[in-house]
Amino acid sequence: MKMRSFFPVRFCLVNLILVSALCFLFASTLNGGDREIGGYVDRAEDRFVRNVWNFIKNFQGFQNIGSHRYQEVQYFWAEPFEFDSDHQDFVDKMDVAYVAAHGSGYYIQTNKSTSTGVDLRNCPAYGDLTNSGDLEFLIIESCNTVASAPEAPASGDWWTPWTKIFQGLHQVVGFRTLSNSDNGIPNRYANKLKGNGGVWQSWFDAVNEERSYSSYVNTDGAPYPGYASAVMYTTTEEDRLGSYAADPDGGAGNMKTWWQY
Amino acid sequence: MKKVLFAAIVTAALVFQFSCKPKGGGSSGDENVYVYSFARVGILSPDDSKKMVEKFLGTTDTGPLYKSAENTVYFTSKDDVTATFEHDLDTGNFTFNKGMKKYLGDYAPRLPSKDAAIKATEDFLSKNELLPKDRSQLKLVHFGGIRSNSVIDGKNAGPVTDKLVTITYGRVVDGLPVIGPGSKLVANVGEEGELVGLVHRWRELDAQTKKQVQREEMLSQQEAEEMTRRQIQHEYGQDISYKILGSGKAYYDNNGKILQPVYTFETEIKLKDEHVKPFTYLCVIEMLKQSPEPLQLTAVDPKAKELIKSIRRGEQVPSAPEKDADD
Repeated sequence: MKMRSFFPVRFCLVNLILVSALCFLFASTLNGGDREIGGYVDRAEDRFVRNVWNFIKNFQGFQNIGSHRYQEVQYFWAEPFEFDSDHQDFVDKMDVAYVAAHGSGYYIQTNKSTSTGVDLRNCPAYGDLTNSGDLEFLIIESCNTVASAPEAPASGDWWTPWTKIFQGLHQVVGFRTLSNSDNGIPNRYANKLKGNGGVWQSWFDAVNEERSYSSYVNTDGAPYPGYASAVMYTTTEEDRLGSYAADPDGGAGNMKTWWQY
Repeated sequence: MKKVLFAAIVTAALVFQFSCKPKGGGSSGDENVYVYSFARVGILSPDDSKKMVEKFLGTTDTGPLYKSAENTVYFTSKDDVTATFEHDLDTGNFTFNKGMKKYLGDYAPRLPSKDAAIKATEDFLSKNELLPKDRSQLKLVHFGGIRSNSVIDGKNAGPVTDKLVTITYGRVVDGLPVIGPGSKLVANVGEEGELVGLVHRWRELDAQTKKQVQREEMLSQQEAEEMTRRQIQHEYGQDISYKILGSGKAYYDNNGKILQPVYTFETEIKLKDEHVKPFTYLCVIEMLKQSPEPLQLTAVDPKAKELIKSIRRGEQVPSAPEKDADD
């Protein structure tokens, strides 16, 4: 009887020690603050390779930012399925996705030679809320994709086209006008983020720092390198990579846009 | 018939002249161009940066500063994500934002008029000894700002709010514009003329190092135009159409040691993807045949192409290897 009662206790203790040791080992390789970064390149000019690389090269290996650490884990030629049908394995598996592409309002080109791309108005919801995604921040270095209030129809409704992909997504950042890439923006932006700067604020600063004297203005009237824009929620406008707000509820409530002019 | 032919030739000549006319404050004339060295900046350390944080942001609580591979240090306030400072320890260039926390939300600041914003900016620059020594090099090139708009009750657009005024100054040297990442001042002006943020990328030129570029040392306009065509074809491939909208000369400040002359070609590119509107591509060609500091604006890091992966739908997504941190 003694033995019977003794063995289970000893068995439990051994198990407890083993489980504790395994938990300790597991916890030492995984960190609750680990975050993933993906880069996606339009199969077009080399400058899009340069743009994405100049961002993600700053996240080769874990980088500590505030209470989180970030690492580039995906670097792919862009394909439509990475944004729509298989988004949970690609952009929506990331915490931060950086895309460089040709673009137009809500559109991201993925392959120039086949004129293929995705329209974000038709993409599934990104973020943690409905589709088991993860994406918090989508950065799009392209012309026109991040349409803001000035691009809205007369009704002023700039938000409806964005509500579909915002289901836990915190911010989309990019340009509302034509933009000139192949410059210092991606590298500087990455370093501002590593310095724990605000997600959209760092983007706006990086764009401003590239503006230089030229009476060359793009054909839409925006000066080099274009006007930045961002879509987010009032609750997420102070987000940075080192600490950010709880996932917003999604939908149009409290949605907000910032833009340069 | 002869009259029609003559008119067509004249029209074509005018169109050609117009399409190649210099723009951008630059010139395709025969003005002399030079190579300048920037005045040396003393040795800077993060301690110098911390002093500047205290001066411009009013805080000594910086903690350790993050330093990038480019020897630039970054500070962001732990209490206010909009209060930032960064300092290039090689060039002395810096950017700061004093914090615009109060400008977030629905707050509608009382912003100054254009003239008042310019005066406030120039007063700040003067008071802090940040104005260029040669004021004639300073040129206001853009006046704009930042706006926001929120959705009310999930249904209606709230008022458009002007949050900040943004003033951008560029640089003119020898009558030519200076382009590139350096040589600019960008100010964000807020409530009643308060200077909220500043990009200060301005180094004085060392006049003693001014060296005239001899004709045999530089590419001709024609050679540069040919390089532009080759660059566009290399970058964009054959299945596009493009036209050169204008060309000129400029100086390029690449945040390096010298200021050097370049040709600029503003081009319009049209893709066959109908989703993408025609867009402008600014092609910069070094004017010097042998630049002491090549710009390498279109060089690709071999790693950038080596590491990029292709994947087809349904293929197993490769797992991310554990990498060692590079800094």
